[in-house]
Amino acid sequence: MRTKSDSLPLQAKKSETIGAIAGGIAHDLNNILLTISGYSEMLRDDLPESSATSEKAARILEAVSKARSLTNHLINLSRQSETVKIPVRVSDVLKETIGFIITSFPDNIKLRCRITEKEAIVSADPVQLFRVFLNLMTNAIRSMEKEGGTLSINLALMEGKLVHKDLNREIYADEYALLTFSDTGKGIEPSISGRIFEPFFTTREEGKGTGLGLSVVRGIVTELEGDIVVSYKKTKGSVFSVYLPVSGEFSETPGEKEKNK
Amino acid sequence: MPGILIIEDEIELRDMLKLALTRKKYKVFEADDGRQAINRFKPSITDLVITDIIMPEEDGLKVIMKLRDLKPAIKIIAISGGGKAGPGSYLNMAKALGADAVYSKPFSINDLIVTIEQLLTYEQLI
Repeated sequence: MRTKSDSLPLQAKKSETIGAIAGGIAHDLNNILLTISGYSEMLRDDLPESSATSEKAARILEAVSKARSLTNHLINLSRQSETVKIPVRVSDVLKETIGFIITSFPDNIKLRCRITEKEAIVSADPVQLFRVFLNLMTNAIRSMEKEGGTLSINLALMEGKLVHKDLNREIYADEYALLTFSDTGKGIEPSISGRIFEPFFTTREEGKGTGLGLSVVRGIVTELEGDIVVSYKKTKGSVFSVYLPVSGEFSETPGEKEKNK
Repeated sequence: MPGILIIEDEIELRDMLKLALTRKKYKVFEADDGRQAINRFKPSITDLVITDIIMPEEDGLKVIMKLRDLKPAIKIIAISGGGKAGPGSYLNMAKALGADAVYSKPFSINDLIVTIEQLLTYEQLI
């Protein structure tokens, strides 16, 4: 559960934990329910139809069906706890993410951040947005961890018609917040560039990465009706550009309200 | 009699599936996880695989891809109880990777058996 004074990293951690616990319980319960329903079906099939014992087996199956709807609720509940869209100032979330990651920033990597549009508001769950930024920054750092380099982050506003040109697809908002995360790391092989947003695709050693990070990032950005594209050089550097439709009016987040009291 | 490999890390569940299938005279092989399944997989005697998705060692999605390489014509049924993303997401991915049928746990064993019969009958016809 979120409290008003929770920081985004803490909210992200809590919501991830709740989701993982709820998902884990639902998964284990579904396994147990299948064991119960499977034996009950066999029992029912072995007994003469409409015998008293056969009816009892049918009752077990009915109960399993009800329990299944409960496990579905559990999964839905964990999802809901993760996505609450509110008007969010992008620069605030970006600053909070940088503040979170800066303590573990390697000495051989420089950070440059340029925010030309401080007031861009998007309708998003700040926790999800935090995850997107954190993931892109972490990937950039990993790509430079051996040889060092520079991570450049830019936040600007872009007119919808220019976004339309960039993305070459229909767009719906008049303005977009454009965030770019540029690194000077090892770049992306052209042969794999089409796969980097696929679930379970990873270039990291076996056991070190799940390959889910960028697919989750794309999922969140898509849900926000935005887009993410990558441009790269074969041997050096890549740029991830995140387009988020600007919308709504800003109202203070519950955390800020609390702070300003 | 067709051979079916069950890949499932929950032993009670695996036992139940084994009993349900041996009652229908299928020859059943078992594996605790994806890695064991790939190591033990015998293409010549396995006609269909039932695989869980979330498992230790190697998950079911990787297993599906590897099985398709080892025996392109193998019939695959993916089953999942979900996880944080819910069973639907994993099963959609399983389907995209080439599973012939998918079931969200808990499901009807009789429905599963009908699907197995259909998949194996179709196999015999082609």
